[in-house]
Amino acid sequence: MEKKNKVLSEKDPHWRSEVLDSFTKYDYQTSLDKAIDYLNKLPQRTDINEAITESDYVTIYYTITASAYGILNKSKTFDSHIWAHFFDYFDRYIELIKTANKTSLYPKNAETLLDHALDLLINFQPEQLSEKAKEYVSQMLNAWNEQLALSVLLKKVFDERMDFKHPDAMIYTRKLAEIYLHTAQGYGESYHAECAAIMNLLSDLTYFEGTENSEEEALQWIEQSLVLNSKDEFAKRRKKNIQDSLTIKEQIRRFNHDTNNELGGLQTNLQELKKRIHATKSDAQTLSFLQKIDNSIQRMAGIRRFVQKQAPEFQQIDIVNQLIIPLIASYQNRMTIQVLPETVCTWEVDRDYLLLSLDNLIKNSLEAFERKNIELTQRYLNIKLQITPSHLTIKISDNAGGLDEKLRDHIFEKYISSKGIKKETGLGLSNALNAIEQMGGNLQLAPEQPKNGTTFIINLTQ
Amino acid sequence: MSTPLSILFMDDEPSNDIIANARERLAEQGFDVDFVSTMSSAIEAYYEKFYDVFILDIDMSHLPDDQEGDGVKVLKRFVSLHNQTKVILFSGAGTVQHWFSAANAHCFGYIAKDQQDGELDSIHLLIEKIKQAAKSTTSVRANTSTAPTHALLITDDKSLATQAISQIQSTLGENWTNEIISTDAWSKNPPDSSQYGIITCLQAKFSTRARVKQQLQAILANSPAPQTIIACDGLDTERNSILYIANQHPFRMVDLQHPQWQQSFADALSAAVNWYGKQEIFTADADTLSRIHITLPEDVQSAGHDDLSETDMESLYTDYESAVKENQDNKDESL
Repeated sequence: MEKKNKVLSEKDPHWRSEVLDSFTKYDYQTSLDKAIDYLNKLPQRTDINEAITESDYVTIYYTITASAYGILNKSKTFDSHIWAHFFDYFDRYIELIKTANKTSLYPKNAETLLDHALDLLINFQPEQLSEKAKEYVSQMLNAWNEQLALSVLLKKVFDERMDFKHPDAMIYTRKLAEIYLHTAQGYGESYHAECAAIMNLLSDLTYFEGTENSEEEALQWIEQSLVLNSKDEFAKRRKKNIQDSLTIKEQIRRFNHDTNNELGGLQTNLQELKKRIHATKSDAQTLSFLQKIDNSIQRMAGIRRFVQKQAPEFQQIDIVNQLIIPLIASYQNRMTIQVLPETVCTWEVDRDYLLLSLDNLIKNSLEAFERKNIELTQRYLNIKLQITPSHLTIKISDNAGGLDEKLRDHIFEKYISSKGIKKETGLGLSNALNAIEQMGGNLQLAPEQPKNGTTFIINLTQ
Repeated sequence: MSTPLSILFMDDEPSNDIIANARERLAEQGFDVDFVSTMSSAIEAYYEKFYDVFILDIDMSHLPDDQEGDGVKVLKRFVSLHNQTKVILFSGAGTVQHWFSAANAHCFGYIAKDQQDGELDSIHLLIEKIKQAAKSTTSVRANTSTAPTHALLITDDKSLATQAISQIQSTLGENWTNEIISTDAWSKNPPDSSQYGIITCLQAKFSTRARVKQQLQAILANSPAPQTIIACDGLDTERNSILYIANQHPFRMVDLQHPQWQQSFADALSAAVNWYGKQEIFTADADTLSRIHITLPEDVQSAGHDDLSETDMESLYTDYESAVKENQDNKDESL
């Protein structure tokens, strides 16, 4: 009796010399041609054909299929002829192993072929990935067993996830992951841990896609994952994070909505109050309080619009008298501020955005004065305006010691601060820049800095 | 002495400060203001009295008698009920879609409750809008003797221009010519708009600078002859410029952020041809009317008002139907 484990190359030296040699040397075109030729001539090989078993045919089909893959994978170009060979012999391979005695076969080969089939789909027919991959996985599952098919698919999901160079890797990961879940569903608890891991992966993918509902969808995946694997600490933490983020978003949304009405109410109430107060002869102090409330509401509305990234609302204003003078009033007892010229200087700006920017710049100087313990009487800040028909330039200079050279190039970046990490949020100058840019202008450090201070320049166009 | 302007003011939060203040200040202006907080009382009021202006909020979703309603639907409904009444939306809750839909349903004005113009608050803006509505006459213009065949496209964006031209050509057909002009060239030397049947203006964003506002105002000044279609990005951050345009009464506004904006643009073009030189009148939405028809009598009774009999309601309904029939050429426009 023939030994069960005698393989084709042992039975027939021709197979080794004609086919296997070129295959092991990665000469796949030769191994493909010769293996097909070998197969075709086998019926005439009276010397050997009686010894040929089912598992030898499996070997031949495997060799043809793997050779076809080798050619396509090496050249990276689609060849319909080779493609047809691959799937033709892949089918025959599957058909044969269905009935063959598995103990005489290499499971590794079956795994390899399924992996190859998925690989070819991804590289050459990605649009058919969902449909075809499902089909091949289920064929392999029927021909061998679900464990083999699912382990190949699982590995493929994570391989794709790691294929950082491929621009569509995330899309393929998602498709394969969905097939995995769909297929593994039928096998109960045995695959719960794997399914949970895949759901976690899908949750991450969905989350980082950043679409409108991606957080909600990510949360759904995590929740499903926790149903299957309730002890997954990673998933629990992730769930909490996403929920927190959603809560914050919802709170901001509600805040926006509710303050819309409140702010509207506040503004109209103030109008009523003004009308009544102006109708009576009120003292200067009452009027001053009223003005302060008015300014605060105005600024609150401006900050709110800025945070919402609202496009600027342009209006003609007298920059010096309507904006700068009232603004610096609140700083006067903490430094000496000089404005030049003090004449009327009308320009079309978003009043709140310019105010926000200037306020941040002055605040920046004030903090520098305080940090460096500069005496009140020695603190100077100059605001100089230059106006041409098309440009308005505002120069803001202080004598607060100047900028650290290392910070100069990053001064407008978020969270960069000379005040030390975490002490302040470091959004001030970034916001100042942002507000000016929203109006189509620019804000920069002056090319020539004073010896003992800092100069910023705002440029606005008409 | 002329009769005071009659206003129906509907808002479901009558105790809100802004609403209370608005009512007071409208009354101070000498307007004859009736306030309602439900849809059925609005219908009832409408049935009994003519209103020059109807003010309503977008956020009508929690009206007990009209679960499906929001301001835009209500707006369309009232435009269909009575074309002479000017509808002004006064809202704190509108979304991008609302702004575009409201313009396309021909609201006379849209004021956001937190909107301000310098020192002027939203109620001031509302009052200005009401005064403007009082002056405006509904002009249902007769068709010009010859059918228009010239369209004008105003844009600075080459890619938008290419896409728009392809829609203009395929929608308007060979009989129409289309001229393209940049916004700059337009404002330096605005062509006589009477030679055009349709003016389209496409730009991602319109600034709120005075010169841009003036341009837009001039472009829209003669609508509905020619019918003017404005397309821009529907973004939350552009609320002020979008509302500014909506308040200038374009024939249609198209949201360039919408994936199928070309289709909306084409629809707007064909609607503009059908409606050339005329005000668009919406046909009554029978489904909505029948819904109100069913809910109304109960509400009226529970509110302790006079009964509105079935026959009354039927005649009201027949009125709509005959109004619809009179306007056989009025196409049923969906948003």
